[in-house]
Amino acid sequence: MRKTLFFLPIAIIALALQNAVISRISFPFADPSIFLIVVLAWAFLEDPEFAALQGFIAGLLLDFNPLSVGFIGHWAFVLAAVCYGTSEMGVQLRSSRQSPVTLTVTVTGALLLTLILFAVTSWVISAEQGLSFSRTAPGVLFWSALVTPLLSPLIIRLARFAQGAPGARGIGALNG
Amino acid sequence: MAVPDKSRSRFFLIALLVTALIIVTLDLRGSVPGQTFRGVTKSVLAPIQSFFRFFYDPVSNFVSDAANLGRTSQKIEELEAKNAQLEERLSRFNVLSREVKQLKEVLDLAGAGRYKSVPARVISAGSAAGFSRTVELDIGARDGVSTDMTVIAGAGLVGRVISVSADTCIALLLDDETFKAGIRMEGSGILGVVTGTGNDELSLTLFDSASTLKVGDRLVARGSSESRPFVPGVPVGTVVAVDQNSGTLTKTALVKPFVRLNSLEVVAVVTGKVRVNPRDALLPPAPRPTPTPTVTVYITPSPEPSPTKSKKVNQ
Repeated sequence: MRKTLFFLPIAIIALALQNAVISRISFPFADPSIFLIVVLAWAFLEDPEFAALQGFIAGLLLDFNPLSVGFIGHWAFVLAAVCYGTSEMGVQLRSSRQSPVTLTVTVTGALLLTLILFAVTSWVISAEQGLSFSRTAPGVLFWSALVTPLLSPLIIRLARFAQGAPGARGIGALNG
Repeated sequence: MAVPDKSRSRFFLIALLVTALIIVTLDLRGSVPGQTFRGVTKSVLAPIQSFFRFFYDPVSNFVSDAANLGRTSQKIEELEAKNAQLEERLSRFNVLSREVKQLKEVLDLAGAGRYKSVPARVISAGSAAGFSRTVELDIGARDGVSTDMTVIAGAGLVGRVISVSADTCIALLLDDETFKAGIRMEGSGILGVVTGTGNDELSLTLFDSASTLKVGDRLVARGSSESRPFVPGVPVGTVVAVDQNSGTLTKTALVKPFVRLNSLEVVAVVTGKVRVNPRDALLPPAPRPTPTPTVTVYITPSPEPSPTKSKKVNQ
């Protein structure tokens, strides 16, 4: 519960930053998705159960974003599944979980998986949001590979702080 | 170290995915008030976004200004040039519309008097040497203009042509000191002569000293033989002051011309003979006298004096 309460404001701030600043800068190729990078990086550092929950919450937040036009629950479905998978990978890579290189590679891969899953599910439910996938995906992945190493120290520190409570699992538990 | 229960985690994930699918299905069926939820999120995000914009906007504006510095100054130069061009066009349009108005007035007058005329623009005013009151017009011998022709404007007489070249001509204005023209008083038909004074007003001399002359009387050109130098019936001016000195054989007065000679732009030169004398028909409608209001006061006489007052008088 403590982790959820800690994660939610971080996600809200990341989404506000994405809406207010990132989307107003004209980046080449495509805009980097700070929000997805934060969510996926956080999921990588968490245990699968909580990662699925925070992916679901972050997805709902994205669904309820005023700038979103898709079906509500679509992003929640995608992010719950991808965050769970990312966390499972983090458990497998226990020894190098806090390495920025590992984090960057995993987050970029997870981002690619997110975009693919979103495009596929969009096609299934006849939504049109995933149609620009092939155009935006390379740019998003490029920026993710560039931005994640810069954000990873901050995310790792915040995640560690959130798991500081007794009985917390994830990085703290895994390191302990 | 607590090991996460995998089956529990998977069950939890499936539960979340099923929940998400239910929400999607409900939204597909229109059962989820999406706009309400998005409105709530918007109100939550708005203050945080404003906070970010507070820091981002100045930086963004600075970067944008710095990047567009060269382009902005170039744009300013382009807009200034365009603005100057538009101002010039507007000024030219104003001059043209004023000239069109004056041309219409002078053609109306020429049409009403059945004068055969050629319109002209005033090129310059004043003589090259001396102090004579003249204007140069942009028509000349090629347009059928010759000396001693009448020059008119929309309001009336302007002067007469005194010299002609192939493409231009010079007209002597009626306020020049050497200018003289025969006139006829409106209504009475009394004859006289107006002379330029070099000022805004003309001097009028009537040959009949017994004739009545008052302020407000109007005069038209009498007309010359063969319509040169003056065609008959052209409005000349209005009497503004009368010399009341008696004992002379003539009567004199000051006349204000109908035409404003200092702002001439478009005039016409009457090039043909006039077959019908329009007499007073070309004069503008006479101004109607303003009625003077009269006030009637009724006074009721007071009643007889009171007895008390009478007593006092008696005492």
